Parts: sequence; C-alpha cells; structure tokens
Amino acid sequence: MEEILKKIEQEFEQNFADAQAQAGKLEELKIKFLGRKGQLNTVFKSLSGLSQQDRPVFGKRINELKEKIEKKLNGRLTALNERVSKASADRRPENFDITLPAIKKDTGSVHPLTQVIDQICGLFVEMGFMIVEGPEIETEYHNFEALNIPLEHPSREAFDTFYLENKYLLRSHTSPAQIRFMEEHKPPVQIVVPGKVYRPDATDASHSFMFHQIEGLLIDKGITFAHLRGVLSVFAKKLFGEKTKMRFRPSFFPFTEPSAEVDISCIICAGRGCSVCGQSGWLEILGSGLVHPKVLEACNVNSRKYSGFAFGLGVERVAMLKYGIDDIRLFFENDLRFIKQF
Amino acid sequence: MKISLQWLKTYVDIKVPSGELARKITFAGLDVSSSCECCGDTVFEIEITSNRPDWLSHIGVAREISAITGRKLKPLPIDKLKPKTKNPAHFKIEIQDKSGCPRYTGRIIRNLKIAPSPGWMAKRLTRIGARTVNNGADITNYCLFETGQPMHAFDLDKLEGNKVIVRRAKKGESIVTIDGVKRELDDSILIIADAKKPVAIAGIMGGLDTEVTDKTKNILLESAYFDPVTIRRASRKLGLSTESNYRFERNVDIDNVVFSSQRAALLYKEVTGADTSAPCIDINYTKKKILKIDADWGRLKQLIGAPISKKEIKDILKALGFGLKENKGKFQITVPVFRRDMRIFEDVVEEVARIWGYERIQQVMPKLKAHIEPAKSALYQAKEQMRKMLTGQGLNEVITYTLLSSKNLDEAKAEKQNRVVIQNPLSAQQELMRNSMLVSLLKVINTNLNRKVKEIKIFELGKVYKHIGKNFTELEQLAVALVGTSYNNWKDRQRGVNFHDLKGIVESVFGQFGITSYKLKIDKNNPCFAPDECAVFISDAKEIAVLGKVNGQILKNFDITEENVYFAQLPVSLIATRMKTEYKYTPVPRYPSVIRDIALVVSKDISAQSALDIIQEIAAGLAVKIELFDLYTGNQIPRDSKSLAFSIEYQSRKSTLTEEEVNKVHSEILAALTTRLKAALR
Repeated sequence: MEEILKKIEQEFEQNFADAQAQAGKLEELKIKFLGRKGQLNTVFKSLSGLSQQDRPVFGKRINELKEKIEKKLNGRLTALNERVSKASADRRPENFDITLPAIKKDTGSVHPLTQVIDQICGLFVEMGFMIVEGPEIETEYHNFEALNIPLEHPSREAFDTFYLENKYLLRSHTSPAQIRFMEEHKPPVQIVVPGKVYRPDATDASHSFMFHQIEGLLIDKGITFAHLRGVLSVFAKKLFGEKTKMRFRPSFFPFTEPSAEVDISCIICAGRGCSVCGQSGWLEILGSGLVHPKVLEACNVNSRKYSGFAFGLGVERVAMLKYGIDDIRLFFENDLRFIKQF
Repeated sequence: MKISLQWLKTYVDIKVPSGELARKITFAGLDVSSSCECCGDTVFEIEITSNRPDWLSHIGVAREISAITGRKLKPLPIDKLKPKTKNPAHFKIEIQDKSGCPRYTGRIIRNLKIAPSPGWMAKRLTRIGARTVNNGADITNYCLFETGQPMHAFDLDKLEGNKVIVRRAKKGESIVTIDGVKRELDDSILIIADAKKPVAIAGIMGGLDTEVTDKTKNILLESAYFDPVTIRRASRKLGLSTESNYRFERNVDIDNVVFSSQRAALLYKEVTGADTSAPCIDINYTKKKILKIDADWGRLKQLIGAPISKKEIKDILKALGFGLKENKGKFQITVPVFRRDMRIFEDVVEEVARIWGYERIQQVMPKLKAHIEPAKSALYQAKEQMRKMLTGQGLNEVITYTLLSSKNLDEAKAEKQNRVVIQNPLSAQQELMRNSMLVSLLKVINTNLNRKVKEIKIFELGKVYKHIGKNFTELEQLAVALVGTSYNNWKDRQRGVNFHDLKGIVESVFGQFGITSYKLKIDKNNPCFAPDECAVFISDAKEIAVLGKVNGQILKNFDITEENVYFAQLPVSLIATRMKTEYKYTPVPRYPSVIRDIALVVSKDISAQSALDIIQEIAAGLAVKIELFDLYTGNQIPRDSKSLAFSIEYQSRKSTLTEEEVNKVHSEILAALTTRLKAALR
C-alpha cells in the first residue's frame, strides 16, 4: 500500500511539473487524481482488503495525500487565473473612456394627434365604452338627413362639405358613424368614434380642411341630461386634471335636443383669464346633448323607450391646448423635429 | 350680431350690470362672445344659433331677457291704421309665386322730406356697425335691427305701371342692385318687378334704379315673408348675402309682417314728416295654424334628471310666451308663431332645462353595461400593435393630408384609374383623394430634407381611396419610408439604409402578427421602384407587402436629392385577418443540437434563397436554424462568383443526434448544393 501511494505521488509530481502553465491540463489532473473514478478514490476502495490495524493508518495517509494534491492544484489554478485576468486588463486600450456616448438605437415617436386620440378613447374605454370607426366617404343620408340636418337648411352652413360623384361626400363630422352603428346594433350603445373629417376651409393657423374628431354616444333606457353631465365631468377631470371645472351652455345642434356647448376652466391660467381663453377663463371644448328623437327613429330605436346622449370634440384643438401648439398646420407638416418632441 | 344695451332698455327694464346680464343670457343660450363699452353704452357681440331667428333683433333679445328676469316688455308705439286686404284703385300688388312668397304687404307713403337721419337713430345704427344713408333708407334698416323684419322702400315714382309683381325672374333678365353690380337672373330666383322690369331680388337686395335717393318724394314700403329655401338658393346662386336674406333664410315671423310695417310707418311720419294715411295692403294672406305640443311633465323631469317642480315648469313656459293647458298630468303647449323652432316635446324639454339652468342639473354617472365584444376591433388593435412595434424600431409616426393634387399623384406614378375626384375642391392642391401612400411620405421626406433633417425613418397608418364603378372603397395601409443611415456611431462608424433594412422591418411586422407562411417575389415592373430593388411578399395568393427602392425619376419629381429612399406599403386589413390569435405550446427541445458550417462558392446570379431552399428541403426538419453568416466577393474567389457561408443547427426532437446521423444529412446537403447550384466548397 505504501508503495502504491508513493507511486501515485510521484506520478502526480511529474504530471504537475509538465502541466503547471496550462489551466486545462491542471483541470485534467484534478479528474485523474481526485475525481470520482480517480486514482486516490480507487486506492481508497481497496482499503477494505487491509487489516483492522492498517486501515485507519492508510486511510489517514490517503487523505493527507489528497489534501496535498488538492492544495497544489488549486493554488496553481488560482495563480494562473489571476495572471490571465491581469493580462486581459493589460490588453484593454489605453484610451478606454467610460464617458464616451452610449451606443443606442433611437426610438421613434407616436404622432401627437394619435397620442391625444389614444388618451381620450382610452379613458372612455375605462368607463365601459367601445371604440368604433366609420368610413370617411359617406352618403348624404348618413352625414346629414339621418342626423336631422335637412337639405337647404341654414343648419347645414356649419357643415360645409366636399362632394364626390353621385352625391357621395367626405364626412364633415364623425356623427355618421353613430348612425351606422345604431343601424346594426340594438341598445344599449356605448361607443366612441375617432377619425378624420373634412371641411372646405381655407388653411391657416387655426383651420384645416382635414382634421380629427372624437364622437361619443350612449343610448339606453333612462339616460338623462344629468348623466351627460356626469360622464363629461369625469372625462374633463381625467384629461385635464382633477381641478378642472366644467360648464354647460345652451346651444343648438340639429341632432341633439336639448343641446349644450361645454366649456372647461382654462388649463393655461386656471380660470384667471389669459390670452388663450380670451380673458374669459373658459375654453370651449365640446358640443353635446341628448340625442334628438328623429335621429333615434332614423335608426329604428324607439325614442319613447330609449334615450341617450352624444358629444363630439376636435382632436387638434385639444392637442393644441395640451401641448401649447399655436399652429394647426404643424400637425400635418411632419417636421421630425416637431414629431420627436412627443 | 351686435346688440346695444341702451337700445335694449327701450323695450325692457334692465337693472343688473352689463357683465351680469351677459352671463345670464349666455347661460340661456344667447352666447355673448364679447362686449364693448363706449359712450355710456355696452355693445354685445352675440352668437345666435340658426334655430333662433327670433333672437335676430333688439326686440327678440329683449323678449328673452323679459322671460329670464320676469320684467314685462314695454309696448312699442306703432301706426294703428288697419291693413286693407284688397288692392286700391291706383296701385296693384300681384303675387304670382305664392309658395315663394306666402305674404307680401305694400304701403304707399307720400311727401317724405329726405334728410340725414336724426341723431338718436344714426347713433344707434352706428353703434351696432350699420351704415347710415338718409332717413328714407335708414328707417327700414333701423326696423330690421329693432323688429327683425327686413323691409324695403322703393322710390314710388320710379316704379312703372303703378304695380309690383312678385314672380320668378325670366331667363335673360338682369338687374343692377344698389351695390352697383349687374346681376344676371333666371327662373330659380324670386324677384319683385314693376310692369316692365325687375326692381328687387326678393329678400336679398333692391335695385339701383328704384332706390330711395335725396330726391325721393314718395315710396312703396315693402314688408313680406319669403320662403327660406327659395331665398337661400338665390343667395347662394348669386353669391350675395345681406342682413335681409340672412333673416329670411332662417325664417322671419310671418305674423310680424304687418306690425313691422306699422312701426315703420310711424317712424316715417315722425322722422320724415311723411303722409302715412294710406293703409298697408295685405292681400291673399291666410293665417298660419297655431302649433300645439303635448308634453308629459313626469317624462320631462325624467329626461332632464333634475327635481324640477311642476310649478317651476309652468312658470318657465309662461314667461317664454307659451300658452299652457293642463289635463290629467299632461300639458298641452301652444307655441307662439315666432317660435317656429319648436316642433316636438324634446324642444319643450330644452326650454325648461335651459331656463331652469343647465348648471343646476346634477352630475350623475350612468350604469354602463359590460359588453362581450372587445372594446377595440381586430383592425384597430392591429394598428395599435404596429404603431408600438415600429416606434420601438426607431420609426416616427406621421399623419398627412389625404387630399392631393393630380399632379402629385402622376409624379409618383400612382394608378390613373379609379381615382376619387373631389367635385368642389378648394384648390388644385386638394382635388383628389390619394390612391397611393408613396406621395404622402415623399412630401414628408422633401419637407424634412429641405430643413436639413436627414435621418428620416417614418411610417403612416392611413387610408388609400378608390372609385370603382359606382362604389367607393377606402383601405387602411401601413406605409414605411427610410432615408439616411442604418447606424451611425463612433464605434461602428456608419452605414446608409438599404433594401434589407426595409425588408427587415416588413418581416418583423409579419413576425409580430405570427405570419410565417409567405414568399418573396421579385418585381421588375413596378414603375414606382428601381427595377432591381423591388419585391412583393405573397401570402395565400395575396400581396401582403410591396417594398423597394424608390425610382430615381420620382425622387427628382419631388425635388428629393437623396438617392437612397426606401418605401414599403402593407395592407393593414390583410395582415390583421392573417394574424395568429391562438398559440399552442410545443415542448422545448430536450436533446442537444449540433452546429455545422458550409461555405459555398456559387455563380453571382444564384440567389441566397435558392441555397436556403435546398438546405431546408434536404434537412427535412432536422435543421432547426439556418443562418447566412457571411457573403463574400473579391480576390480570393473567381470573378463571377460569390461565397455564401451558412451555419446550420441540427437537432432532433426524438433523440440525441449521433455523429453519423449529422454527417449523413450534412453531406447530402453538400451534394445537393454542389450539383444543383454548381457550387464549389470553400
């Protein structure tokens, strides 16, 4: 036994001397001598063949040898590792500068009008509304007649319109989408409709022949003017802040009765009066009212059984107020230095 | 419309300060948009909605203030002489178009002393921005702003044949109106004529020949009711709009026609010293039926959603001049003639609500119903997803005009057929709806390059429009454009964008929607792109994307000096409908994979795709990943060839692949590549 151990030790010393500069070889030696099927383990197993006396003596010897080999191998490996990391530190370029600019991928921006549409529609979705879209090329019936705007009536004046062939037209408001939805769905109706609308207005800082609106419609049994006030007040506070005040003024829209124009307290001056609100402290923000019974009946909804409210607002106006933009044309010029600000 | 506070006070006592009054009437629906203090008076600018023509006068506004404040209207002095319903012997009024003119009255006033208007009248007119001429002409104008009834005075001595006829004009007739403009007439236009010629365009403007001048002695004073639609059509046709037709279009009070004539007669007598002893001639008028509306007060309260008492409702309606009859909890409401806007029960609801006060109505959240349908359609969700993903890849969203010039569309070689034409464009810049997204993005690129913004990575989610046969269609598109560098930093230097950057974006859109089965097809004939750099992606026989390098001539047409502009267009709905919505789990592979590389030298015209297809085919499912990791052309290999290096990862789901298995399939692949593509191994 003594001899076997000596032989192992000698073999190790020799191998170690050959391998000492190479971490890989040293790892191999670890397996060869200390592994599960390594030489020392094999010897250890043969201890059972020795006498009662010799067993503890040689057991101790084997363990001592094991420790010795382990120590040598590990010591060498640690030293090698240190040298490697030191070497790689040396290889680093001398001008390494941690303050050099980050190498990053640009991220793009969502158009500010889309952001406002998403925000507004999103908060109505939270209340339980659905988002619905409608065609931009419309019939006279859906854009006007069904909404109680008769032909050759002064109320059409507010809705100057681009016409296509055969009396088709570009919708002058998002309201025709209400009609289309009600034609296909029975109440309750809880929708908001975002989209492009068109009016032949000469373009300037506050007018555009193409712009965006969001329309809301709620039809159910027992809907009242008080509900209209409730929903719009939550909307105004969610969009413009909890302290926003709101007021309703009587107005006229052919498709609602009673009708109201809704103002919010000026978000620039908080109602004290400034140039944006014309010193009034109030900003006109949307039109609304209880849905006119003729509109309901045009969609086969029984106006004695159901009632509802509708409202509409201009997206560009809200975006201009929110972001402090003073020219509507900026939205459609798409200067990337403008778009990337949002 | 301008309203003078001092003038108002002639008709109703106003005790509140002007600011308080402005607020009160604004909250009753008379929107005071501004007010101006001058000479001890306040002039309000009031926006009057088109349903309330009865507010288009000082008396009309006074009547509303009286209803709001509960102060009685003061009576207006008039000439009390009763009208005659027959023409007198010496002058004849003839109404030929009874539907265009349901009521026409004339009154002969003699011996006017024409002079400048008296100070009080001139002052009032000037304050509200009206012009003054002389007392003879100003009185009709004054009465318009006082009573809301437009009237006209003809110089009686210049009317030929002692008669006026209300009729349609004949083709070829014309008139020079008091503004000095000669206007051609036709049979859609209602006129007033004497025995020989047109003397006024009914309800819009009088003729120059018969206007009241400094020399006028006698007049015929017209007060009438003209059909709103007839007047509106004529005004539009002639491009002529006046205070007069503005009111006729919106409906004047037909019962007020004689009253206003009587008021004017009194003023003529007092102001010009004229002889007003001849009565007003009011032929052929049948009084309008009085309109009645049934109203249920419980439902009224319920629609408003406020605790309004029955007494409050009654008081409000009475103050507004409505007659009221109560029967078993229901009201029957009689509507005064000047309130032609009142037709149905809901109109009554508004009257009560606005006077009671919109601001007093509570704010109540309705109980909204839960709905099974998703809050957003699949198409809407697809657009949202694309937007998120593309901005994540560094692209910026743009929104552009959908109306464009035909010149622009032609310059971008957009299809000539099926274009959507605007019949009444504002200008040639907006005469068509776009049928291609390319034009829109090129314009954005041009704007940015002109402003020295050179990195342009953009997309738009918008529509293209087509007119096919009798139908119009509008289709949602995703358009992407790239200009500038793919990357540009101190470490990797820079590289310009190329076709494959664009291809990468398009394919990652497919990936995002789980679309995996599609084929690339080279397209050499698309006029919008460079012939060698254009392709389409096809899925289930449908084009799901077209992409390429924009044709150089088109770039020149749009003054774009940058040569490398890449553009792709994808039909959003086709992608949304192909969207993979159900995902099923497949176990993660349990056995190790083996990676082998192949480097081939092939002729330059062999596509990478053809090599990929062969590898895929032969590996028959064992190759889980095939990547092209190098493309080389240069001195190391023959001139007309290129080297393609692929790395293939082999893996089985059933067992660990043995060396022999991998070698077998790998050498089969090599053999196939060398024989079919005439490839050499490197």
